Amino acid sequence: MKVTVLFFASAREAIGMSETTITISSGASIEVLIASSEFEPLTALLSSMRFALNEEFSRRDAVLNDGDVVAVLPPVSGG
Amino acid sequence: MDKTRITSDALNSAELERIVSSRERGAVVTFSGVVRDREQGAAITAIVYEVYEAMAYKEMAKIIEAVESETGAELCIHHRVGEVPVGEASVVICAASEHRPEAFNACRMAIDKLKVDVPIWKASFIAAVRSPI
Repeated sequence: MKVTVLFFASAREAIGMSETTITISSGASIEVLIASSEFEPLTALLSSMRFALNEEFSRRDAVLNDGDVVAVLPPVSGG
Repeated sequence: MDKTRITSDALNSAELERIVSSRERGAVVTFSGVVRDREQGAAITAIVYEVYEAMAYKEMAKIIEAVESETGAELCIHHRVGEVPVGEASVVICAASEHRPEAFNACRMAIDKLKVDVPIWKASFIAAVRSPI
Protein backbone atom coordinates (compact mmCIF):
# COMPACT_ATOMS: atom_id res chain seq x y z
CA MET A 1 0.00 0.00 0.00
CA LYS A 2 1.03 3.63 -0.43
CA VAL A 3 1.01 6.40 2.14
CA THR A 4 1.83 10.06 1.70
CA VAL A 5 4.22 11.56 4.24
CA LEU A 6 4.44 15.30 4.93
CA PHE A 7 7.42 16.93 6.66
CA PHE A 8 7.31 20.29 8.40
CA ALA A 9 9.81 22.83 9.79
CA SER A 10 12.99 21.14 11.16
CA ALA A 11 11.83 17.73 9.85
CA ARG A 12 11.48 19.16 6.35
CA GLU A 13 14.91 20.79 6.58
CA ALA A 14 16.57 17.60 7.83
CA ILE A 15 15.12 15.36 5.14
CA GLY A 16 15.27 17.94 2.35
CA MET A 17 11.70 17.59 1.08
CA SER A 18 8.21 18.52 2.15
CA GLU A 19 6.32 15.49 0.85
CA THR A 20 6.91 11.94 -0.39
CA THR A 21 4.98 8.76 -1.13
CA ILE A 22 6.21 5.56 0.48
CA THR A 23 5.16 2.00 -0.35
CA ILE A 24 4.97 -0.22 2.73
CA SER A 25 3.42 -3.54 3.59
CA SER A 26 -0.22 -3.65 4.46
CA GLY A 27 -0.95 -3.37 8.19
CA ALA A 28 2.20 -1.38 8.98
CA SER A 29 2.08 1.21 11.76
CA ILE A 30 3.59 4.70 11.89
CA GLU A 31 6.40 3.13 13.96
CA VAL A 32 7.17 0.72 11.11
CA LEU A 33 6.92 3.49 8.52
CA ILE A 34 9.47 5.71 10.26
CA ALA A 35 11.89 2.80 10.65
CA SER A 36 12.19 2.61 6.86
CA SER A 37 15.41 3.78 5.21
CA GLU A 38 13.82 6.93 3.77
CA PHE A 39 13.60 8.30 7.31
CA GLU A 40 17.30 7.89 8.12
CA PRO A 41 18.08 11.65 7.95
CA LEU A 42 15.50 12.16 10.72
CA THR A 43 16.89 9.57 13.14
CA ALA A 44 18.27 12.11 15.62
CA LEU A 45 15.02 14.10 15.60
CA LEU A 46 12.41 11.36 15.76
CA SER A 47 12.23 11.13 19.56
CA SER A 48 10.97 14.74 19.76
CA MET A 49 8.54 14.46 16.84
CA ARG A 50 4.78 14.04 17.01
CA PHE A 51 2.80 12.47 14.22
CA ALA A 52 -0.51 13.20 12.59
CA LEU A 53 -2.60 10.68 10.69
CA ASN A 54 -5.05 12.26 8.27
CA GLU A 55 -4.76 15.65 10.01
CA GLU A 56 -5.28 14.36 13.57
CA PHE A 57 -2.55 13.76 16.19
CA SER A 58 -1.81 10.06 16.26
CA ARG A 59 0.01 7.48 18.37
CA ARG A 60 2.98 5.76 16.77
CA ASP A 61 1.31 2.36 16.97
CA ALA A 62 -1.61 3.50 14.77
CA VAL A 63 -2.07 1.08 11.87
CA LEU A 64 -1.97 2.68 8.43
CA ASN A 65 -4.28 2.16 5.49
CA ASP A 66 -3.70 2.67 1.79
CA GLY A 67 -3.94 6.36 0.89
CA ASP A 68 -3.35 7.64 4.43
CA VAL A 69 -1.50 10.91 4.98
CA VAL A 70 1.08 10.89 7.77
CA ALA A 71 2.64 14.17 8.90
CA VAL A 72 5.92 14.46 10.82
CA LEU A 73 5.51 17.35 13.26
CA PRO A 74 8.37 18.93 15.23
CA PRO A 75 7.40 20.59 18.53
CA VAL A 76 5.13 23.46 17.52
CA SER A 77 6.18 27.08 18.08
CA GLY A 78 3.27 29.20 16.94
CA GLY A 79 1.86 32.22 18.74
CA MET B 1 -16.72 36.65 10.19
CA ASP B 2 -14.26 33.79 10.57
CA LYS B 3 -13.84 32.45 14.11
CA THR B 4 -10.63 30.80 12.92
CA ARG B 5 -8.35 32.25 10.29
CA ILE B 6 -4.83 31.57 9.01
CA THR B 7 -3.60 34.33 6.75
CA SER B 8 -0.47 35.99 5.43
CA ASP B 9 -2.15 39.39 5.82
CA ALA B 10 -1.84 41.68 8.85
CA LEU B 11 -4.26 40.82 11.68
CA ASN B 12 -6.92 43.27 12.78
CA SER B 13 -7.89 42.99 16.46
CA ALA B 14 -10.92 45.25 15.96
CA GLU B 15 -12.31 42.72 13.49
CA LEU B 16 -11.94 39.88 16.01
CA GLU B 17 -13.65 42.00 18.65
CA ARG B 18 -16.60 42.54 16.33
CA ILE B 19 -16.85 38.78 15.68
CA VAL B 20 -17.28 37.84 19.35
CA SER B 21 -19.09 40.91 20.68
CA SER B 22 -22.80 41.09 21.35
CA ARG B 23 -25.15 43.16 23.47
CA GLU B 24 -25.25 40.52 26.24
CA ARG B 25 -21.46 40.33 26.56
CA GLY B 26 -20.06 43.07 28.76
CA ALA B 27 -16.43 41.88 28.75
CA VAL B 28 -14.19 41.68 25.69
CA VAL B 29 -10.58 40.55 26.21
CA THR B 30 -8.05 40.55 23.37
CA PHE B 31 -4.64 38.90 23.45
CA SER B 32 -2.10 39.81 20.77
CA GLY B 33 1.15 37.90 20.40
CA VAL B 34 3.61 40.33 18.84
CA VAL B 35 6.99 39.61 17.23
CA ARG B 36 9.86 40.86 19.44
CA ASP B 37 13.01 42.48 18.06
CA ARG B 38 15.36 39.84 19.48
CA GLU B 39 15.43 36.08 19.26
CA GLN B 40 17.94 34.11 21.34
CA GLY B 41 19.89 37.30 21.93
CA ALA B 42 20.20 38.27 18.27
CA ALA B 43 18.51 41.25 16.61
CA ILE B 44 15.85 40.25 14.07
CA THR B 45 13.49 42.14 11.80
CA ALA B 46 10.88 39.43 11.21
CA ILE B 47 9.86 35.84 11.89
CA VAL B 48 8.75 33.51 9.12
CA TYR B 49 5.95 31.18 10.27
CA GLU B 50 5.20 27.84 8.62
CA VAL B 51 1.87 26.03 8.97
CA TYR B 52 0.23 22.68 8.31
CA GLU B 53 -2.87 24.57 7.33
CA ALA B 54 -5.57 21.91 7.08
CA MET B 55 -4.65 20.46 10.47
CA ALA B 56 -4.07 23.86 12.08
CA TYR B 57 -7.65 24.89 11.21
CA LYS B 58 -8.96 21.68 12.81
CA GLU B 59 -6.88 22.18 15.97
CA MET B 60 -7.94 25.82 16.29
CA ALA B 61 -11.58 24.78 15.94
CA LYS B 62 -11.10 22.15 18.67
CA ILE B 63 -9.59 24.78 20.99
CA ILE B 64 -12.54 27.09 20.40
CA GLU B 65 -15.01 24.30 21.08
CA ALA B 66 -13.23 23.19 24.28
CA VAL B 67 -12.65 26.68 25.67
CA GLU B 68 -16.13 27.96 24.84
CA SER B 69 -17.67 24.91 26.44
CA GLU B 70 -15.54 25.26 29.60
CA THR B 71 -15.85 29.04 30.08
CA GLY B 72 -19.05 30.00 28.32
CA ALA B 73 -17.14 32.79 26.56
CA GLU B 74 -17.34 33.38 22.80
CA LEU B 75 -13.89 32.98 21.26
CA CYS B 76 -12.06 33.54 18.01
CA ILE B 77 -8.44 32.93 16.95
CA HIS B 78 -6.58 34.37 13.97
CA HIS B 79 -2.95 33.42 13.23
CA ARG B 80 -0.68 35.10 10.71
CA VAL B 81 1.84 33.00 8.76
CA GLY B 82 4.65 33.73 6.33
CA GLU B 83 6.82 36.73 7.17
CA VAL B 84 5.64 38.71 10.21
CA PRO B 85 7.69 41.87 10.91
CA VAL B 86 8.85 42.94 14.37
CA GLY B 87 6.12 44.85 16.19
CA GLU B 88 3.27 43.18 14.30
CA ALA B 89 0.94 40.51 15.68
CA SER B 90 1.50 36.88 14.76
CA VAL B 91 -1.62 35.81 16.64
CA VAL B 92 -4.72 37.55 17.97
CA ILE B 93 -7.22 35.84 20.25
CA CYS B 94 -10.41 37.53 21.35
CA ALA B 95 -12.94 36.36 23.93
CA ALA B 96 -16.21 37.94 24.99
CA SER B 97 -18.43 37.00 27.89
CA GLU B 98 -21.11 38.46 30.10
CA HIS B 99 -18.58 39.25 32.87
CA ARG B 100 -14.79 39.56 32.76
CA PRO B 101 -13.44 36.40 34.50
CA GLU B 102 -14.68 34.06 31.76
CA ALA B 103 -13.24 36.21 28.96
CA PHE B 104 -9.82 36.52 30.67
CA ASN B 105 -9.76 32.76 31.33
CA ALA B 106 -10.80 31.94 27.79
CA CYS B 107 -7.99 34.05 26.28
CA ARG B 108 -5.32 32.48 28.48
CA MET B 109 -6.59 28.93 27.94
CA ALA B 110 -6.71 29.44 24.19
CA ILE B 111 -3.17 30.80 23.79
CA ASP B 112 -1.78 28.11 26.13
CA LYS B 113 -3.45 25.36 24.09
CA LEU B 114 -2.45 26.96 20.77
CA LYS B 115 1.21 26.86 21.80
CA VAL B 116 0.98 23.12 22.42
CA ASP B 117 -1.28 21.71 19.72
CA VAL B 118 -1.62 23.96 16.67
CA PRO B 119 0.85 22.89 13.97
CA ILE B 120 2.50 26.24 13.29
CA TRP B 121 6.25 26.82 13.55
CA LYS B 122 8.68 29.70 13.67
CA ALA B 123 10.48 28.40 10.59
CA SER B 124 13.17 31.05 10.35
CA PHE B 125 14.24 34.47 11.53
CA ILE B 126 15.16 37.38 9.33
CA ALA B 127 18.18 39.08 10.84
CA ALA B 128 18.91 42.77 10.88
CA VAL B 129 21.65 43.51 8.37
CA ARG B 130 24.62 45.30 9.92
CA SER B 131 26.30 48.15 8.14
CA PRO B 132 29.79 47.04 7.01
CA ILE B 133 31.25 50.16 8.65
